[in-house]
Amino acid sequence: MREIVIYVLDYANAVFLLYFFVTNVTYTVLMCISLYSVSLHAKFASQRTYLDLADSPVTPPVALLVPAYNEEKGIVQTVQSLLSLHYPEKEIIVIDDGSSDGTREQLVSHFALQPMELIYRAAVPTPRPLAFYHNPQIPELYLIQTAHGGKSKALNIGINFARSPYFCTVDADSIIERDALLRLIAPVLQHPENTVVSGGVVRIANGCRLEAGRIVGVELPATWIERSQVVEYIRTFLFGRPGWNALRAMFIASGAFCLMHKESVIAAGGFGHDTVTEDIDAIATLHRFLADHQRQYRMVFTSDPICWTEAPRSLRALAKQRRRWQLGLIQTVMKHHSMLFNPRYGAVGMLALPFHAFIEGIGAVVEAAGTVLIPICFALGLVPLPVFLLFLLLAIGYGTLLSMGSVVLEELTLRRYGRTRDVLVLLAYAVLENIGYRQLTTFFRAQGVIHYFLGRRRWEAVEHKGIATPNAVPYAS
Amino acid sequence: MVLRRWFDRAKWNWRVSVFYFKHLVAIALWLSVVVVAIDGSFVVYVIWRRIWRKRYYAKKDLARGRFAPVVDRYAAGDLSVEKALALLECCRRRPEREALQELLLAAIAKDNVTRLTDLLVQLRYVSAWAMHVFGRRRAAELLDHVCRGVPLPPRRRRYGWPAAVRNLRVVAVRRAIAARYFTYLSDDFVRVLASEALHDGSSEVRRVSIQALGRSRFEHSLTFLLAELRDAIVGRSAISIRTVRNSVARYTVSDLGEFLPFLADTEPRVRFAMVDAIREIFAQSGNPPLAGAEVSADLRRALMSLCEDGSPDVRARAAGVVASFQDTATVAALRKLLEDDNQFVRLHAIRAASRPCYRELLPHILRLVTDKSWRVREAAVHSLAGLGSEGLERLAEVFLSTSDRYAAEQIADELQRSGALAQMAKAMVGREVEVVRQLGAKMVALERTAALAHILLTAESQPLRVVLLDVLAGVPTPSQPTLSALERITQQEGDPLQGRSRAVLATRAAAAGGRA
Repeated sequence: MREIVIYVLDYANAVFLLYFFVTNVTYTVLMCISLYSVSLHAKFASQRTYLDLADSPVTPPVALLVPAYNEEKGIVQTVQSLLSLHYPEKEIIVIDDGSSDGTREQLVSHFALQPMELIYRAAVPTPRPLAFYHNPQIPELYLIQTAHGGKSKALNIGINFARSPYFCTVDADSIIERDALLRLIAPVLQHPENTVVSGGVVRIANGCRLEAGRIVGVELPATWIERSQVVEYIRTFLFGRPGWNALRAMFIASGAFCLMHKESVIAAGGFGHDTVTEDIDAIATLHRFLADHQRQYRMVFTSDPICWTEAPRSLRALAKQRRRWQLGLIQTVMKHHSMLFNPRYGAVGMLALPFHAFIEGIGAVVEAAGTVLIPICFALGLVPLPVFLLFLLLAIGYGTLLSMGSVVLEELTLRRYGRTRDVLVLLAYAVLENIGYRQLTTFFRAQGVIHYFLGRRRWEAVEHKGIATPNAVPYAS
Repeated sequence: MVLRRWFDRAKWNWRVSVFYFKHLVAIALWLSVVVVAIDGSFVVYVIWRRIWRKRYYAKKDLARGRFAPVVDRYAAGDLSVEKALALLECCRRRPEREALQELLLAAIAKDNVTRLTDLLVQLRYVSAWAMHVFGRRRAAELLDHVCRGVPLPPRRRRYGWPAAVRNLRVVAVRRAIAARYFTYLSDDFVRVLASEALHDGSSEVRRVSIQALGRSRFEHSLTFLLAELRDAIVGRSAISIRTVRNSVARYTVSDLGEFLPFLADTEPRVRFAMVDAIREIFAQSGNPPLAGAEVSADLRRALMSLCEDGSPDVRARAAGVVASFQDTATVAALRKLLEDDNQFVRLHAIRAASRPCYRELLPHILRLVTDKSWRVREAAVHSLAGLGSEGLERLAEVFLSTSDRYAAEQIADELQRSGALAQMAKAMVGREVEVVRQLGAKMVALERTAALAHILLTAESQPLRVVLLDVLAGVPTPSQPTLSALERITQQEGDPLQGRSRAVLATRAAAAGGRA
């Protein structure tokens, strides 16, 4: 009996190590590709060629869709940041998804919005909104009030109401840098192929100073949870996504700041309601639809348009967020499982989807199990020292290498953190987040996977405190 | 502990283990050392880079402070090239050279571009950029050609790295950045250098050169750009259509003659792109009325003939272009386009005809308010609202008289969005109370009461508020905004409508109680 248990655990440990090895090799490949593409992009972006688009007649109008649910603390700042965007023609459509707090009242009073009954044509099937608000003095801003139905429904309502050929999804707790939309549309206009998705970078705004809807001072947040997330976001957006982008296998674009081609999204049926991460699902659906209809298209990720968003400040909120993300990822992967290893879908089907399904998705459970079992086995004498050392090296040592590498890449390219002290703190957290934080998030992600298989597939809302205390002057005054 | 005893550490069975590697410990330890060493080097690198950048920018700021007065004086024409060179030639180190380059490029304006280009040439900036893009030998030939008028030899095969390597993005990006600087130079340089860069194997460099040519608007490059646009449309170019269109649209009305051969292209998409680019050029210049001298008779004929093109896209875009001619022939052409079978042609014709000078087309646009296509209805209503008081009055007439619900809804939509409803009501209430009442009644009939309730709450004119209250009181099932507005009025002490509003609410409550 003892021999059998040892045998099983031994092979389980081999699976854990293999998982860590494959994951880290993949990340290393992505890191190398990202290093190349991000630094190259930064070099050219320093010439600010995108500024030519600001006064160009060929720059298409863009609708900024802001679904908001109980966001009274930050919504005014977000809308102010959108109004001050440097872009020739834009619509800002805030969709109040049945908030029970003062989200709508904040907007109505701050921007002197008036109630109206406007025409609504549902190209993507949705129920009719309850009310529309608009101020003719701010022609680009609209507020739509709907019954609570989820983010995807709110986005579909926004798509139906928008008139622009492109729309950009923006989270209601986010602040977009002034030139970010120009930077986001630049790759769409500069490439001959039809670019249906252009994703940007999301950064953590906790700790930053905000004035009239603009980030005026980039600083690190105070708590270890937030700081660890800062490093994690830098790693994800500078090492992960640019790598997939270079391989033409973009599978995830953050819904907090993502530009999409409206006609393609409508043709693909809009945002789906059957997952809790509508942004990942929308990308997968678009890939599937466009490939099935043999359309030439591309999706891009650009590493310099930055959107600052509020990150969870407590472990509880972080757990909710990560469980939801993981649940959504698994739902999306299962929904689009026929794309797995299907050459018809190119690099997405052959590389990105398998990676996200087995390494990022199901792999979270393997990682969590390994994180628990290997140290226990070592303590019990079931794992020899070399194996345990290898595990530590792969799980922690290599993790620090990736995180530190991404902070260095940030320093080489975007350099948003002005103070040397902040960068050194980030480097320290690039080491520290691998001890404790990463394991915690792994457990939360594993919970998300388990929730999926247990059938608990509901949206876990994360409370927002607002990036900063709004002290802006109301528009009406 | 029970488990621990059960598993007995001493009896670990290495023979069944999949991890039976002799040197695994050593490998793991060495890898750990490597990881720690790399992490350490990252920290050192970041600190070193911060210190280096700090020093570098301090030197650059210093240089900027030293050279800025010289550059300003030179740009203003107060210094000769020789004197400026004597003062600036001491700048040799990288931060100084970069600071000076930035100062010189920032100082370039229309009136001093030739002088500053001259100085950039003398300070060997232009030759450095040209060398990056074209290589040493070709750069020398090109600069000799521009500066000394030496005939330009034909392009030869370039030696050095193979084209496949040279065209890699990582290699080409440096050339593209250098090519971008050509944009700032005087016309002679842009024409030769940017045109030459258009033959680069990298699409990145070609894109930058196209942008440079567009920004400099050099007349002789337009034909080249239009040919590039045609290539992009038919898929023979790696440059996007929008990039080329962006450059083409920067030209002016006086350059339009170059378009003539392309307007007769056999490919409808090319004709569409060309006429659309002309439309953008007109739009950029504020859609001025064009006299005969500004557009040649041939071009005018060609553009007018596009109004009868076989492709609806071309006809649609041609409407916006011919509208600038503003003569009787144009009126006839626009009238025909307003009656076109294709909805997009009608839509663009409406936008083109919505200018005060085309007053005689107003009845045609009004007719399109009841068009079967919602896009056309929307464009017609929007255009009429944009025509000012006359357009609004005509809209109000249609609004009150039409039995077409879709048209009425479209007008109600526009009146609310543009804020014209409140303006009209305020303007009319003094003289045409009955019209305001009818407008309100029509809005109520269309179930558009929220905007009326808002005006009722915020308007200063008491007669207007009385009319609106009367109208809203007659609504069989008042909407939430209406009820909220009435409740707020009842709560406002001293509001002249307080009593009336209270009575309306009481009637409503009684009616609701009765129904219950």
